[in-house]
Amino acid sequence: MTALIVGRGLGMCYPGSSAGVFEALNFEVASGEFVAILGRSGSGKSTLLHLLGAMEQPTSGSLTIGGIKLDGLDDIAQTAFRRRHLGFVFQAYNLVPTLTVAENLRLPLDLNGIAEGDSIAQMLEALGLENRARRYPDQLSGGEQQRVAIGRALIHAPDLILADEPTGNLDAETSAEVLALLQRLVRTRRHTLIVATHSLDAARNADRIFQLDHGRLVSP
Amino acid sequence: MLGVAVVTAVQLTQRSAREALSYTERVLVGAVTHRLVAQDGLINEQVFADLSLAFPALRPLPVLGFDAEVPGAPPHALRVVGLDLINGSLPARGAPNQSNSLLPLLRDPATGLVNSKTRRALLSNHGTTVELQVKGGKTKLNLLAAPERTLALDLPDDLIVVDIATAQALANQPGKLSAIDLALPATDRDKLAAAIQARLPAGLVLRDSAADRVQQQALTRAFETNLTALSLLVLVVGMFLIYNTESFLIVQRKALFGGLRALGVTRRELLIAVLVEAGLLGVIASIIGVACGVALAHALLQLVTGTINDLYYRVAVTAVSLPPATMGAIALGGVVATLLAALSPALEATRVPVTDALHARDSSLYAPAARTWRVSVAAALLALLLMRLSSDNLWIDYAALLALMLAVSIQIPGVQSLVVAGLLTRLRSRRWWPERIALGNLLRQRRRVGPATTALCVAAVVSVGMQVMISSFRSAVEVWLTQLLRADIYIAYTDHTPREMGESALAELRSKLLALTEVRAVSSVTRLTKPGVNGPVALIVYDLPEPARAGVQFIAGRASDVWARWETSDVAIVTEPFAYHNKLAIGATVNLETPRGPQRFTIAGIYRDYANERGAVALSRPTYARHWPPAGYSGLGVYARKETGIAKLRAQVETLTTANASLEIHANAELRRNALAVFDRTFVITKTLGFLTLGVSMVGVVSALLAQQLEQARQYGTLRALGINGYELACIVFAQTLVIGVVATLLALPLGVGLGVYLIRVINLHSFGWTMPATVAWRQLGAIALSLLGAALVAGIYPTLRALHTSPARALRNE
Repeated sequence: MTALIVGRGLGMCYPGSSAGVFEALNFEVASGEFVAILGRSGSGKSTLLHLLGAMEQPTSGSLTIGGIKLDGLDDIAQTAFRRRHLGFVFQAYNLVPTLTVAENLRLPLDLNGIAEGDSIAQMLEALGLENRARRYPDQLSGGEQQRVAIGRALIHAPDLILADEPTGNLDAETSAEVLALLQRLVRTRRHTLIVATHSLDAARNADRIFQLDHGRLVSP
Repeated sequence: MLGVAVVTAVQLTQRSAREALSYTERVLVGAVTHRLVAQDGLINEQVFADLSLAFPALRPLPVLGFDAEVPGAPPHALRVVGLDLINGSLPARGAPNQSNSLLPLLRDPATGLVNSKTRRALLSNHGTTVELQVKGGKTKLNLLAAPERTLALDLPDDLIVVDIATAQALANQPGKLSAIDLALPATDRDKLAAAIQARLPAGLVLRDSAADRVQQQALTRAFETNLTALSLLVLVVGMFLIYNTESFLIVQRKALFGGLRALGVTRRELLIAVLVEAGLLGVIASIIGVACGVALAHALLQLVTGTINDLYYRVAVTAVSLPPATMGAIALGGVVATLLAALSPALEATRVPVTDALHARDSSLYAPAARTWRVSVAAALLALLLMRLSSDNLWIDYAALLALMLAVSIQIPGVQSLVVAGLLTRLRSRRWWPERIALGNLLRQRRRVGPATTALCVAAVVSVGMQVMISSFRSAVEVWLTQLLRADIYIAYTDHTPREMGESALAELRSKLLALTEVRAVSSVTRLTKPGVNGPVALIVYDLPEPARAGVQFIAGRASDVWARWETSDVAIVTEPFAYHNKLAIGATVNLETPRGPQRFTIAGIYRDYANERGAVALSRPTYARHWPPAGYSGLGVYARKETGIAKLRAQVETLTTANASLEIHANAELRRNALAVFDRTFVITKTLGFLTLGVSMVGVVSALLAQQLEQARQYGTLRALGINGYELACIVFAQTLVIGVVATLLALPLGVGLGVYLIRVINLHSFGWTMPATVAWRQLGAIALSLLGAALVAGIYPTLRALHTSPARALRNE
């Protein structure tokens, strides 16, 4: 399997902070792989996810995704990269409250200039939300909102899905349902998935687990 | 803070201007209770001697005042006042006699006393003498600075005090006085006044100074009321913004309030805490606002006194007066306004369910708008009631206007929501997602954005309303002037010319003009003040030849009837303000004091006149001559024959007046241009306040957009994470600003026109007694609409720039 993500000597230190969040991380993630990043609060999971999401620049080392070197990209190139190659699932769902379910799903298609076709209908069916298309986010339950967020992350067929504590706001039963949906869709569509979580349950079905501890990747 | 600053500035400015008037008066006349003046011209000094002999205990004080200029310098009028320094009229007013320092004034006939500032300004070449142009001639005056605390009161700027003899010499008026001041004792004051009046020769009037002061104050009252009302409107706009800010602060801290409620804090305690916080903010903002207002007052003062100088009388004032009571009252008003504006959000904070608050959800922000229509209907009914109550009480008029604006303004957020919802529906089928997000945010955050739009809209309504009123007024004045000024050339004596000298020069000139073959006709006017039943009446005596009569625009009465009786019967025509203020109609009579006793004049016509807001009575010269001794001329109008060129006629008139520097010649167009220039200067202050209101509302839009951004940080971060770039995000913010600007503009135009009509039909009528057709200058309204849109867009620049640089990681990290 070819490596989709290659991180070499990756380090991150925020301005004004004496200690780095992490340093000299080396890792590779293969295309289609499901990786879970485990770690306690403040261990740097979200920061690593932000680096992978081209939202921040590493202070040292290099990061390549799909052959594109992310370190050194300017804001415009970073934005274009995120738009085309990434999908995000957030802990608090982060749906656009002023758009309906269908419009939230359509947003990445619009951004990438992809014809809608019947992809929204198919996605709604896959999410089990066919009858929620015209609802607004605040008219949905937490589990439903996270399902919409998963659909939004997948609909434009990105290379990499990044999920930051995707079940952090859900009860155990709903969490299991949402995780099962996410894994099923990712496997079916052969997406690469990286989930940052502190929950072992969420990481159980991952192909590999990266444990972040005191700024280093260790074996779990 | 900004609202308080504007109110403070306007109040201070007005007070300073007002104080300048009374201060000048106190410096010169002290405890004078009565002033003796001549109805026409100057008083013979013999009258002063007779009075001194007849009433030695009263110590009458002779006065001769006139204006002067420094030749060659920019136009800047100085006031020269001659007083009887031997009798100690100046220092004796409430201060110990320190006449040593004033001896040079008596010793050297060409010496004047000024304050140090005026002396520095006049003696820029380090000398001690200044050349003055007085009464058409030039003379040199040695200037002394009044030593500090020499006088009971400091001398005002631009005032030169000289001995009465020096004044008579300077004005070339030996043995003449412009007034004699008297301080009548309180006991038997009326009896004494009657005794003095009985001894006076014909043509002299003893005026009650207190009554004169009241009348002078009434002159500026309407002007002040208008400015005060405008400044209060700025405060109202500010209240919308306070409401906005307070709502934001409360929404931000709902979790805290929920926690406090969970710990057992009662609703009342929470309400008090929120109001105390708002009150403290109000105190701080009001103090800063008062301080800023003092600074602003310096700028406004020049505008206000400029207007008063143009319209009423000359005021020399450069200092801003700082009465602590006024500033305290304004600051208190600011705090009360803050508390009133904060009350609704504070009550909202207490009503939040504990469980809801602990989730820190901002559901209240997204709650449907309250049913505001009841408030609107109540405010509209109150406005109607007040309008019915008001006859000519300006404050009731403004209260009605405020109620009407409240009724309309609280519906603005709802109207904006309707517009936005309509746009959203139309855009739903399109792929314009930034616009959809922008509109959706506006719709969902109507309670955040609504007050800002309202503030902007109210400010724009004020601007548009003012513009409609001013342009209508200007247009009416222009039409009136065009119709009124029918002569080709106008001649009047200069302000610095004594009345008698000017009148005799005009009389001589009139005879010469009538002899010219190029002249078709000569009209004349004499402006006088005569005692009437309700106080002095401005009387205009006209010679109106046929071509001049067409210039009189009758509002009531038929022109043909008026002119048929104009010279042969005891008929008068009165100006519109005179008829309005005195509630007179055609057929009513005006009683005027004549040397042979009271005389009634039947009103045959009411004519349009924007020259004098108090109004005037006009008589034909033959009618006047039947009841009074002949009067001189204040001005002449020369009508050229058709075949005569205006330039040629003017050259001839100038030749006739070459030797007389006291006469001014104006061509028709020049006079009209000058009049309109004065008009434009009058409304500079009004326009300035309009811009200030707009500025305050712009701050509101900026703060609303920034507050919205703060709340939308997570959403913006998410959008950036999804691949929306900074420019696209900026487009969303900019689209919101644009919608706010467009909605405010579209609502402000019709509402502003309505306000303009109200100002014309109600406020102006009650203030001045003037009617005029409402005309809408579409080009100017277009300019206002563009500037309003521009203001909204400018207000959106900073929030847009912030959006442009939104870091997705930071926004998501802080969620």
